[in-house]
Amino acid sequence: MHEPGLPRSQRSPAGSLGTIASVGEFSSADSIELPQLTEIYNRSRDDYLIPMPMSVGRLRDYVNDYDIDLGASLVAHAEGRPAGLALLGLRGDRAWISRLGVLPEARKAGLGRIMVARLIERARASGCASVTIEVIEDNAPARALFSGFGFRETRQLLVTRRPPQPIDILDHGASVRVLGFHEAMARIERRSDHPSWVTDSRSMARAGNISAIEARWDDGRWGWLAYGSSAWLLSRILLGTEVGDPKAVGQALLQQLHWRHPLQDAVCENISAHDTHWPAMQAMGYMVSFVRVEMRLELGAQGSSSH
Amino acid sequence: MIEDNPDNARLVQRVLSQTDYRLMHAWDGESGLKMAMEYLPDIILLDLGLPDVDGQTVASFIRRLPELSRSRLIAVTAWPEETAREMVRAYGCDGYISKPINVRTFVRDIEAYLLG
Repeated sequence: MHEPGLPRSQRSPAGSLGTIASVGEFSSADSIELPQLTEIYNRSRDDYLIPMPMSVGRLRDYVNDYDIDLGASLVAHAEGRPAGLALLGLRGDRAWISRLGVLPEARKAGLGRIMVARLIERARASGCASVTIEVIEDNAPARALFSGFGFRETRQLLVTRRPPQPIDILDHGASVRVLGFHEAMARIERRSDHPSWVTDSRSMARAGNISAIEARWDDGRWGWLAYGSSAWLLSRILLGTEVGDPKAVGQALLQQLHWRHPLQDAVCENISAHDTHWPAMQAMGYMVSFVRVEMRLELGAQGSSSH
Repeated sequence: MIEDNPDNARLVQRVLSQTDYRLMHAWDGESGLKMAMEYLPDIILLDLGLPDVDGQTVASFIRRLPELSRSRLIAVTAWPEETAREMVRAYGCDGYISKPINVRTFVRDIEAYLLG
């Protein structure tokens, strides 16, 4: 479905964008084939500091894992050509805006602002009580854009890496078990943190290939580490200390993980900067790649947003 | 060169076409790794921002392979300098070149790494 953007009287003057002289048509993302959607996304990020390109397969998984509603998501058009993209995830009364991007030649015409406004309205129409987004910390214009809509910054989320390196396993005196998917998800459901959208239990379940390591000590301490693994990479790493010191329990679990998978690179995305396990991860060689700022908008009664 | 962005790839191809270097190009990490293992290049230019398997993971695999131990591994990235330095060191790269590349110094930068 195509929707007009700004009224003609409010659109940018002809020629102000170089080759794109008129902007402001929008369609639902499900009207575009996935390969083209992928190209629009990648081109909108060509010049980003941290571009994070995706293949078609990766975008397909992204849509699946994070409950992206392509019917509610938007593609912006300018002069009959795709010019930008914004995805909307929907889970019950929560919404998530992701991968907002406008092609370089189509910027400065308000397309991003219009897409955000439209997605907020779509979230409200879907019965959502809140909308969240994660913005790279250094992306001041994006933070200002969302602040202008009433989003409030709630926390810092770290995207961390650990290159493979040899590790000697230390005997921590714990009994260790490796858990399959269902037992891993049962541990994840016990968590007491406030996960981001991508590390939410639902995202972990949708990803599918989740295992866990559980360690228990005779003195009652215990904890677990859930993770996804492929031939290339360990990912979706989550730590849970049920009883005991998170640093000590976390370090023991991480040593088990990396001793069992010594050759794999590891990525742990969106760990809160205040997560009690972060010192354990740092001790095990995890480093910060970049920082995201989570922002949240509470949706008030129909026709208003709570600022 | 392991680079997914067509414009960046074309630029490097254009610059190196004026030299005697033989350039091979892979569009993603997995095919880049296979190409490197087959051709054992003198230098690997590795974009850190690859789709699917990203550059850091590819670097960790390259550095694990004895047959590629003599290949200079150079990250090509737009990351901030401090982050680039840290990642390059941690993942065993021999250095990095900032994006967008400087066409005037690019060949000289590569030769500096080759001559080590």
